Amino acid sequence: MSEEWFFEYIKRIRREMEELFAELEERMTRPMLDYDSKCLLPLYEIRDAGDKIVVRVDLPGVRSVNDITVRGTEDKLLIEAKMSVSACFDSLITYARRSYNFYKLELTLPAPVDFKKARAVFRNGVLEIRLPKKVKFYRVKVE
Amino acid sequence: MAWRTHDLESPKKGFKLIVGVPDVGLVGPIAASFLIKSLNLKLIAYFDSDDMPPLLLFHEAKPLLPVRVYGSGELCVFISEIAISPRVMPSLARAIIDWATKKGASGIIALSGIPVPNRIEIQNPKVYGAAVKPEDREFLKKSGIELLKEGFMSGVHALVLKECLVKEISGIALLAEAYMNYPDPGAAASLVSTLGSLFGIDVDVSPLKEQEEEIRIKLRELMKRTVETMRQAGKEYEYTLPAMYA
Repeated sequence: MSEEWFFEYIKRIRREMEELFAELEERMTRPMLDYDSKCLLPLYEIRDAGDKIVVRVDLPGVRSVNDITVRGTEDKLLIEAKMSVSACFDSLITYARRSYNFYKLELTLPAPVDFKKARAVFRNGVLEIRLPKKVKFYRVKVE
Repeated sequence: MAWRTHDLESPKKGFKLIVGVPDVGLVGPIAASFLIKSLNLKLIAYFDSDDMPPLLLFHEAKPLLPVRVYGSGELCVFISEIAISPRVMPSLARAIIDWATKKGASGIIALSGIPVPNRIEIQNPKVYGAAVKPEDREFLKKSGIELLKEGFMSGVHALVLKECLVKEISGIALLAEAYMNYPDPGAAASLVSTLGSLFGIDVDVSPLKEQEEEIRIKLRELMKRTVETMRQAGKEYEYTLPAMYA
């Protein structure tokens, strides 16, 4: 009985590892544009800054804050932005014959956030969103 | 890991070699590419290795190797158009310095970026300098370039300086404040302006600023691959204080 449990456990770990590697591989090799939806995937970074999560997204070609929509829940973030200039990749045969003028990014956040208190700024084509964490810290008296 | 070089022309003895390899904000290759186009430099050598990805590049229908040297007169520019794996970085740095010394270079200038968290608020990124020889450090200081005083440097430009140190040749790194994970033509423009004032290279950087959006859109894929190599190369060491000075 105990042996069965052990082999099941090993199988599950192996399956999870394979899924993780497949996801990493897919993320690395996935092109940063979607031919069908004419949509670009922007470069981004997520930083854990103690009491908040900071998300930065590079949106070259977007010129107005009115063209950016940020929506979210406590653990998801959806960013959509319309570009003022269209991007063409005519020299790349795979992605030619189409212009791309929209960014879309969907993210899972590393910690729950209070989305209602989120603040966003957009400067020089970079969007920065500061999302306060929902987790509360309590002070412990040190004696 | 051996590198082969294919020379098409020999540079003029005493030339300076500028090195731009993908790293922080891609500022090195953006600045190098801009210099090559603006100064109308000619292709003079290819670098190749069996440890590089199996790639051949085409530009205006002509086949090119992704790692090349351009030059004219006393200025040569080394450029890589693909991200360099950390496994290959040491041999590439040695190959660059071996080629440069064999051809009679008088000095190496590596271009890169230094990541700053508040880059979004900076209009004109500052350029810092690092140099192997005391006279080069003095030259940078007298020219108003603040020197890197403490800390680690990682990536190909660090290994290029390391080779210069070991082989006792003149090596300078110019590092502009930049976004770490986004292509940063603004930081590249600061580097080109600084190079111009230090070495009397007459280049107008306004076209680089005008093409900023286009460059940022087109280099996203290269940036994504470079971010992965930076992570493997221990870029986080640049935020670590050396034990000797802690």
